Amino acid sequence: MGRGRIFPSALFRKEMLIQNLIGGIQAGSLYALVALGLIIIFKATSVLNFAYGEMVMMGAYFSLVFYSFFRLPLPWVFLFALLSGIILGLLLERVICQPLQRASPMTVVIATVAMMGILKSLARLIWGPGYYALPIFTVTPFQFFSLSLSGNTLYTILISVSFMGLFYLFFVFTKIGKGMRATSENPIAASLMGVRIPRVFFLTWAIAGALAALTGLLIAPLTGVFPDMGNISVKGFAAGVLGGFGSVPGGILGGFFLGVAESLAGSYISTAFKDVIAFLLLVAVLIFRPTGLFGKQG
Amino acid sequence: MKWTILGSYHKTWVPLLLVLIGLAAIAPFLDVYFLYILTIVCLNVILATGLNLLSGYTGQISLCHSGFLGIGAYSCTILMIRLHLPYPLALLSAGLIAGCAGFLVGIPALRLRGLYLAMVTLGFGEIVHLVLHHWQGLTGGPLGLKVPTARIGPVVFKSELSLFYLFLFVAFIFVILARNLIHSKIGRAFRSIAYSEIAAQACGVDLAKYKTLSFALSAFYAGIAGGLYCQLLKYLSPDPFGLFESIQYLTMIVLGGMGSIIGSVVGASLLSILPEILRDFKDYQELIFSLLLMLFILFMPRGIYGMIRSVFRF
Repeated sequence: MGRGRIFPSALFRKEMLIQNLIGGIQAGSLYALVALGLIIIFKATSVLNFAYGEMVMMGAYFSLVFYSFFRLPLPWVFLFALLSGIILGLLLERVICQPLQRASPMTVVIATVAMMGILKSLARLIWGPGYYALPIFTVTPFQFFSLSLSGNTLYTILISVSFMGLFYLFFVFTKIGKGMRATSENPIAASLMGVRIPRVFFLTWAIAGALAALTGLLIAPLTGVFPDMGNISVKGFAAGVLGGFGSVPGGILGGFFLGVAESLAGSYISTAFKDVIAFLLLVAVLIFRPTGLFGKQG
Repeated sequence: MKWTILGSYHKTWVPLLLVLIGLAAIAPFLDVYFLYILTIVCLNVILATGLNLLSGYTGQISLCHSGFLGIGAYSCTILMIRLHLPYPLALLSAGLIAGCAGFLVGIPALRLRGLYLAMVTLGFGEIVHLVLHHWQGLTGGPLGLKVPTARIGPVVFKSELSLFYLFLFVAFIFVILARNLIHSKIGRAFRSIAYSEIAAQACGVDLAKYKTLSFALSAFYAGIAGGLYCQLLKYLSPDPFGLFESIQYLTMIVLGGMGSIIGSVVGASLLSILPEILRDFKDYQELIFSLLLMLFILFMPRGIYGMIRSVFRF
C-alpha cells in the first residue's frame, strides 16, 4: 500500500521522467545559448569573457525597461533589447579587448572579472537588489498528449533552437561568418587573405552582445530579473567545457547535456546536488578529458 | 651575488620588524575600531602574500582563494568543537587541510593553463561554497557555527588587543617566510615557471612538483588565515567565502604589485582600509573595487609598489 502511494504506477514514473527531461532541455537550451556566446568570443578573440553572464543580466534589465517602463509591444522589446545588447558588446570590446590584445591571458581574465564586478554593481545601484518579474510569455499550460507544457517552456526552446540554427547558417554560408571562422583558425593567415581582423573582433563582440541580450530576455521570465542572475555564466562555462570549448556544436550539445543532467540529478538524487553537479562535471571533465566529452581526443 | 641577496633581505625585513614593533607598541593606545581594522589588515596580508606566491610569482591564476580561506576557517572551528584540539594545533591542521585542498586543485593545473585554470579554480570555489551551505551536519549550513574562543596555554584570545597581537605575529612570520622562500631554489623555480614553462622545464625545473607545491603553499597560507579569521568572526557562516571575496584578494595583489611580497602587503593594507574610508558610500564599494581593479590592470599592471620601484629605481 505504501509503495502504491509513493509510486502510483509505472506510467506516472515515465511521465515524470519525460517532464524532467523537458525541464532539462529548457534549462539546457539556455545554457547552450550562454555557451554559444562565450565560445564565439573565445574562438575569434581568445578572450574568455567572465563578464558574459553580466551581459546577459544587463540584457534582461534592458528588456525589463523596454517592457515594463516604456510599455513597448513585444517585437519592439526584442529589437531594442538586441540593439542595446550590441551596444554593450561593442563597449566592452573597446574597453577590454582592444587595449589588452597583447596582454597575457591572466591579465585579460582579471580585466573581464573586473568588468563583471562593475556591471553587477552598476545594476545593483541603478535597479536595486530586488527581483522584478518579466512576464512576456504566457504561462497557461496546454496539453500535449498526456504532458502539460507551459507556454514559457515551449517558447524558450523554440526561440533558442531557432537562433542556434540562424547562427549555424550565418557561420557556414555568409562571407562575414566564413571570415570569422578563418580568423579563429589562424588570424595571420586570415588577414593575409584579406579578412579585416579588427572588423571581425568588432563584429564578434556585437554578435555576442546581441546573443547575450536575447539570452537575458529568455531567462528573465523563468527566474525574474535580479543583479546576480549573471551567475548563469558559470553554467555556460561548464557547458562549453563539456563540449571542449573550441567548437560551437560541442558547446550547444554540452549545454543540453548539462541541463538534462541537472534536472535528473535534482529530482532523483537531491535538490542540493542540482547546483553542485555542474561544477563537479566542469572540474571532472577538465581533469580527465580536457578536450571535452564530444571533442576529439589528443 | 650572495651579498646582494643578503642585502635585499635586510632591506625588507628590518623595516618590517620596525613596523611590527611600532604597531605592537602603539596598539594598546588605539581604540577598538582602529584595532579591528589593523587586525583585518594583518589577516589580508597573510592571504595576499600567499596568493602572490601562486599568482604573482608562479603565474597561476586562482579564483578560489576564499574557498581555501573557508576550508581553513571551518576545519579549525570543527576540529576545536569536535575533537577539542588546542588552538595552535587546530590552526596548523587548518593550514594543512587547506594545503591538501590546494594540492588537489594544483593537479589539474599541470595540464591546464590560463583560461582553463581560471575555470577549474572558479568551479572549485563554487563547490566549496555550496558544500559549506548544504553539508549541514558538519558545517551547520546557512545557520553557521559558533567558534570556540582560542587559548594558548594561559593566554585567552578574547580581547581585541590579544587577537591583534596574535594576527600581527603570524602575519610577520609568514611574510618573512615568503620573502625567504622567494630567494631560495623554490622561489627561483616558481619565477621560472611564470616566465616560461617550457624554458623552466628545459632548465630542469620539475613542473609537476613546483606547480602543485605552489598551489599547496598558497592554500596553506589561506588556510592559516582562515584559522585566524574564524577567531575574529566568532560566528561562522558560508557568506564571507564567495567568488566576490576571491576577486577582492586578486585585486589586492594586482593593486599592490604582482610578484612582490611588499606589494602584497601594500595592496592588502590599502584594500582593507579603503572600505572603512568609504563607509559612507557602502553601496558604491563593489563598484569602486571593480573599477580600481580595471584601471590598474589597464594602466598600471605592475601595481603601486612596482610603480614606486620604477620611479625611485631600487
